[in-house]
Amino acid sequence: MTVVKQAVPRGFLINLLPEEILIQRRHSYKIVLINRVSIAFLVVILIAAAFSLVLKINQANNLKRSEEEYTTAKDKIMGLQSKEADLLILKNRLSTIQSSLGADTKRKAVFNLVTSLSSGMQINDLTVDKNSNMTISLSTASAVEIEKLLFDLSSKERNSDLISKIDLGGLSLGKDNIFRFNLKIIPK
Amino acid sequence: MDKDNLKIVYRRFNFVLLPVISVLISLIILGLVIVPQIISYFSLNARIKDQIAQTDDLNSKITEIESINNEDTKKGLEITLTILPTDKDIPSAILSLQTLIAKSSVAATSSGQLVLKDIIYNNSKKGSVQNSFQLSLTLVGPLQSLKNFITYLQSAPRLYQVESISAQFQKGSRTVEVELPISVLYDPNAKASISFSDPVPKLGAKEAEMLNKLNSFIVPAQPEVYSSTASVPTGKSDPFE
Repeated sequence: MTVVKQAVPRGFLINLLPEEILIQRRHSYKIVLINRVSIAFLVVILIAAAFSLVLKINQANNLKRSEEEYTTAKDKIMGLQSKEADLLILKNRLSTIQSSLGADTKRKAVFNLVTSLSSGMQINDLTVDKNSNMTISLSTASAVEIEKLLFDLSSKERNSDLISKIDLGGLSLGKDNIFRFNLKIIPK
Repeated sequence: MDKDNLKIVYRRFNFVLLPVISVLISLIILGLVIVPQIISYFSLNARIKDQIAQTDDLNSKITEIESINNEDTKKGLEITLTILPTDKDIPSAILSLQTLIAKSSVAATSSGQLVLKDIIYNNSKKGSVQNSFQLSLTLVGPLQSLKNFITYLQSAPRLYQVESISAQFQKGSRTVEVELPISVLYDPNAKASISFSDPVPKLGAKEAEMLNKLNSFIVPAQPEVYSSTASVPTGKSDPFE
């Protein structure tokens, strides 16, 4: 059968096949397409599965390596722990010493201050208790000395800003012309 | 269902058999292999990152610990253990107090000397601080010597705390008899618990300064040595020469 091509104008197709064959062909086309797509999908999935497996193996290796490095570092640090412990003990002891060193400073300061300021008088007895409160019994022949002592004790510049309250009690003048009195000094 | 029927069904659904099987296999692979691995990938990755970070931390800690001068630490520990021993060590505490008393005397004459009249160790009396014991001193001497003693207590080779001061002065003089309960501190904790996550302890400038200060408390000032034999002829080193 010879087909005269020139006789058919461009853009024209004349279908001479029966309609059933055409439908069957279209159907088989679809089936082939679906089959190809499904196989391609399967292949993609298989490649993805292989890739994920490779990734997993690589990750497992990385994990193993990092665990080994961690164990090595841990072992090394265990060997150095005594050095660290020594330093920590030193630091703890230093902080204990530091906190204890100045615990009685106020008591000593009050004692030193009052005994210095009352140097012109006779101190009879003196007590500094745990709260650094001082009770002192003094005697002097001069009223000016008492005034000076009270001024010094109440002056911020002279008392090193250490004293908050002074109680004067039991002031008496004896037959021997000597003033006797007690002071209760409460520090800040 | 007979054979003919099966054949009819097979012919009818023949074309969908391959896609269905391949999709099923794909779904199974996806569900059982790919999805679980993707899920575990992220958690495992986080674990690896965490492990690497921990290793890095440990390595930097190792570098820091290695940079610690062990000699300095040991010396510092020695100093602090002298100042604050692990046990009571009462004899050394008393000895140190006696040395301070002798040092406090304003003059070598008996009238200027601070005298330790009495010293009482009371086992039942605890100091105001938790790990301490109390020594009650009775001292007699000039007020200035007592003041010196109280000052020297601050730079003593043991840690002392004056609990209270109770003084009685002699009439017409600055001589005083004083009762001085003193707490002597010690610290039985000589162990430290360390965990890997803790940062490396470091001694700051303040602590180094403190150590120097404590060291000066322990090292006694070198006494002035007067050499009276310097001008004396010593003769030959070998007398049989």
